[in-house]
Amino acid sequence: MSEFLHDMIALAGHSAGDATGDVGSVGLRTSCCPACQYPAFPAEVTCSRCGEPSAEVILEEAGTVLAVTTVRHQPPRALVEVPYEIAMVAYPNGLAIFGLVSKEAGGIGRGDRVALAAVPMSDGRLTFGYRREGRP
Amino acid sequence: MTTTVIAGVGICPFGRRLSASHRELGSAAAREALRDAGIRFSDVDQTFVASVGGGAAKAQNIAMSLGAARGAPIVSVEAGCGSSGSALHLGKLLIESGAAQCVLCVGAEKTPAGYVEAGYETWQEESGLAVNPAYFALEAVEFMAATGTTEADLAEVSVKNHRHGALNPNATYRSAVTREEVLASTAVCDPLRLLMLCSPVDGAAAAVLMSQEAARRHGVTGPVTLLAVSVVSRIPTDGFVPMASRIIDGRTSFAERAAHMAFEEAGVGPADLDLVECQDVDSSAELRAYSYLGLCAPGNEAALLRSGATALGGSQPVNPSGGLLSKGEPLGASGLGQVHELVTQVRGRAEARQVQAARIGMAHVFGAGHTASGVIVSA
Repeated sequence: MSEFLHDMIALAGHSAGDATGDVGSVGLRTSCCPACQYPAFPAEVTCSRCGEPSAEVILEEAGTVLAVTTVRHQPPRALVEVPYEIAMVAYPNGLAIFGLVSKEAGGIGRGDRVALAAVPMSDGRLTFGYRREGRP
Repeated sequence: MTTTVIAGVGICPFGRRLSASHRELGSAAAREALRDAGIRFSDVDQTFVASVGGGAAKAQNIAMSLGAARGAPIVSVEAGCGSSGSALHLGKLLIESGAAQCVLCVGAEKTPAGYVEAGYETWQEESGLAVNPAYFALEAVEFMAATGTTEADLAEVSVKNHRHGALNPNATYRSAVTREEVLASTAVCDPLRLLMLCSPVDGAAAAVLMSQEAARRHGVTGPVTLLAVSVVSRIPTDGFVPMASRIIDGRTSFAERAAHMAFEEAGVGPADLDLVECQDVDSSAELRAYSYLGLCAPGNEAALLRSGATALGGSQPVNPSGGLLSKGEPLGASGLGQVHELVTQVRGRAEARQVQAARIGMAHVFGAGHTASGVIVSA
């Protein structure tokens, strides 16, 4: 079982520490403020907009690509090799989240539907990213 | 209320100054500003040094090399790209409160080559997400989709600013470039190419602020009025870099708020500006600034560029200094570099890049970090 990079990534339907299932299906720990409905990722303990306690919501659903770019020069400390793509993906909760595009989903563009995916890094751990919807 | 004036400015040319230390860069610019104002360091009531890097006691190291120290407070200011604006803001407040008559603001930076460290979390670095140009590129893609701006338009911003920068002895890159050269330059993060992105460089700039009364007492000739300095910190609904996510609807802009606040404080509007220095960290950022600053309605940015209005010789030249695309970006010193250009222009001393009849100018920064700032000066 590969280790996730950070506990903001959760297996769909599981809480952190229960990471024992299929890593092909992942969720993200986001939050939504019960008082003002402000969404955030990574999840907030206290709502950054209104200051009330926020509540965790595991994001599992598909999103829509707003923009994609390609990184061509290796950033320091990155555990993924260039060239790779980063996408900004819109979700129904009102958030646009920045993440890696999995190699298999190369060529996606604005308007395409994508699902969350576990993306392997060079040290064997997993980070989150995007794959084409319906193609695990 | 007390009026604040800029009594003197100085600059240490921007570039890869490998043999010069942070202290040497900052003190060279500060000495020039003191000389321009006709005062000694002992006349200064407070010194602010704007810098993102530079290590411990960086402000004191610069100020103590200016001679004639009398033990007045020396304070470092760091607010990312808004560091210079923050220093000017504090200086103006001190003068207007009566707590100081003369404030020295210095921006100094040694910026390593490569991607700028912008406060990313470890998981973002390891995931390959700590890449500023990628976020600039994603903003550019959205902006282009929303406004019909083309890659040729992005190239034209670079062509314009490099043409201006070729006339500026303080710029890092002093060669004009063609649209074809920009579009053929190395792809960094699509659609942004190397010549559409500013480079991190070394440099320093400084300004001496005084109350109008102190300027008279010191016999300052040709003081420039500091009409406004706004500093705005980010709220959750503002987009910024570095970010892991942002909201889609109801997004706000701290860049726009900084501009509005500066206009309100100065009592002038966008139509009154004779020139603008803005944060062209990439070509699309300059275009977005056009609407933030009210130079045009949102969506008309590329049309304004194509009209020639924002080029030297146009009705409202933007980045006559060459902007960051040509000057390079010494993070904390960048804003004071803009102010140096405004003062040089409204004094009518910009020589080959002089904006005709320049009287009111505005500098504006936004970008990585959480601070935006607007500065308006008047001859």
